Parts: sequence; structure tokens; C-alpha cells
Amino acid sequence: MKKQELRIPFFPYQVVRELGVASFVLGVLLLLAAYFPAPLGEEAKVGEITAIEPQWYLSPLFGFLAFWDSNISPNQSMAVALPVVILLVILLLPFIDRGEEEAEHPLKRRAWSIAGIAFVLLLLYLAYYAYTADITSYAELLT
Amino acid sequence: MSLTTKLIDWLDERLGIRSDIERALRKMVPKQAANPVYCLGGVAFLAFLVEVVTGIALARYYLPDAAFAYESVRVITYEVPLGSLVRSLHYWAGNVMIAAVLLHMLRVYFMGAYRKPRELNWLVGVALLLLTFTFGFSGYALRWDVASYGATSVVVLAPASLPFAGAWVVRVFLGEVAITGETLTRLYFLHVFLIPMAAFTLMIIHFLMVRRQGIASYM
Repeated sequence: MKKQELRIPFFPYQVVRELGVASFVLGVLLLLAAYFPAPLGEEAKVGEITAIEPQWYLSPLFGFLAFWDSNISPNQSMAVALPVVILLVILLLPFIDRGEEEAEHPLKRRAWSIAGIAFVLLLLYLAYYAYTADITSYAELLT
Repeated sequence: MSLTTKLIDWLDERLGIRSDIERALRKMVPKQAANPVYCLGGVAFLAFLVEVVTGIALARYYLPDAAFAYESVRVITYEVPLGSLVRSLHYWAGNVMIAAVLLHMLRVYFMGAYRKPRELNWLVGVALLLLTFTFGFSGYALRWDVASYGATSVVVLAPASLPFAGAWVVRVFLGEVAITGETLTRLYFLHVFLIPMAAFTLMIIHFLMVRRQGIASYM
């Protein structure tokens, strides 16, 4: 807001562009739904865990719990507490990074960019771990 | 005089909305908003709208009771006309929504756009991320097949091992620290009522703050 920006009217320029993106996204969704229908496996039986397939966005978390269990310690409460602490750090980020500029090119804030890339790579590794490790045995701990 | 003009005149006489509409349409927006990295939040919202529409359609057939849930999903998938398409749209829009929210968050992170004056909107955004995850996992549970049952058990039971409040939090939302048939009904309530209400409210606050503060840019 401080700097002088190039500006265009919301209507019709921005509206037309938004409609274009929206049509594209809806088209992609229809194609995905038509060619890759939502899966449905065997019916679950209450109290019986025979398979664990975490959704892709939770798989880093599952991977972390399983990794902790088999490589670090069977004490689960620490393994669950750590992601909560990380979440708190993410939540409080604006109060930790007190940079002056309201936004910067990623290359100008190298330390933060490297930390961000390292974190994303860690999540990818943990997701990979969740898909390859036997996490079904992990569930037995819980039941 | 066109029909639209007549309609707007009619509404303007009663509600005095003409100047508001004109101001909204003529509002100047930053040109760099055309950059594709800035459309991710909008894509997430669009996917949310698809979820609302398809979700309402699915709710007409889904039975949130452990004894009937799986069978009702089977009926939706194989017997209800267009049921599989609507269910698949719901499935994919959910995945797209989560992917878009995550990418949107990465964009904000790498630009440092959470800094002053946008601290509050970052907090709301993280809350929305958590709600989106809860949307996904509670919806996955509703399918009630072997794979989703196992994953749901872990997500529900793992927080209970947290020191101090873990078990208490699980009990507040699900009534007990165990996966029973009733857990499904409670997750259904979360999925179709509590989370949508909370998410929609936070989205409105999120958008109003963006409108007030503008988008952060280093260009």
C-alpha cells in the first residue's frame, strides 16, 4: 500500500480474468471426477483396524508418528506434542519474523526461504515414510 | 431502459444500493493480481463452493449411522443417478481445496507477506488451514470403508495421548476416546455443520481483511 502500484478497474478486467480461472478449475474438476471416480473399499468393522491409508495431506503426520515409534521412542505423547509445537511456531510466525518490508522477494530473505524449503522437503520425506513403512502395526498401539 | 437498469432502479429506490454497486465495480485493483500465484486463495474458495453444492446433494442420500453409512455410500456410488459423479466431484474438489490452501500458504510464507500489518490475517489463515484439514479427515471417515476407518482411528486416538488436555479435547468433540458407531455420527455433525459454519465465518473475515489491507507485494 505504501508504494505506487499499477492499478486496473475491478470490472470488467479482474472479473473476466476471475471467470476464466474459475471455468478452468471447474473444467479440471469435472474431468478428474469423470475419469478418476472417488474410491470405495470394503466396509469397515468397528474395532478392527486392518488397513490405514492416510490422506496425502495427513501422511507427513502419520509418517512422523510411525518414524518416532520405530526409531526414537515408544512414548507417543512426545510424538504428538511435537507437531503441536511446530504448529504454534507457524501460527506465531508474524511475531517472530519482524522484518520491516511488508513483502520481499524470496531471494532477498534467504534464511527464511531455505528454512521453508527444508521444512517442505522434511514433510515430503515423512509422507514417503508413511507410504513405505508398515503403519498398520503402529495402529495396534492405539487400540 | 434495459431490464437490468429497471431492476437496479427498483432496488435502489428501496435499498439505496446503486452507489455501493458502482463503487464495488469501479474499485481499482493492483495489476499484479493477475499473476497466477495470487489466484490460489480464490481457487480454494471456489473449491469450497463446489463442496457446499455437491455436499448438499450428497447429504440427501447419506445416512450418518455406522450401520447404514457404508451401504448409503455404495447406493450413492452405484445406484443414484449421477451419484458417482457428484461424489467424485466432492472428493476432487476437497483435494483441490486442500492443495490450493497449502500452496496459497507457501506463497504467503515465501514472500513474507504475513508481516505487519497482516499478522491477524495469517492467524485466521492458519485457523482456516486446520479447519480445511478437519473437513478432509472428517469427510474421509464418513466413507466408513476399511482404509478410512483405520486412518480415522489414528487421527482421533493420537491426540488423546497428548499430556494435559489431549483426552479432554477428543471427548469434547467426539464424546469418548474410542472409535464406535457413534463417532461416525459426531464426525458427520462436525463435517456438515460445525466446520462449515466456522470456516465460512473465518473466510468472510479473511476476505474483508484482504480488502482492507490490499495484497502484499514487493513488485
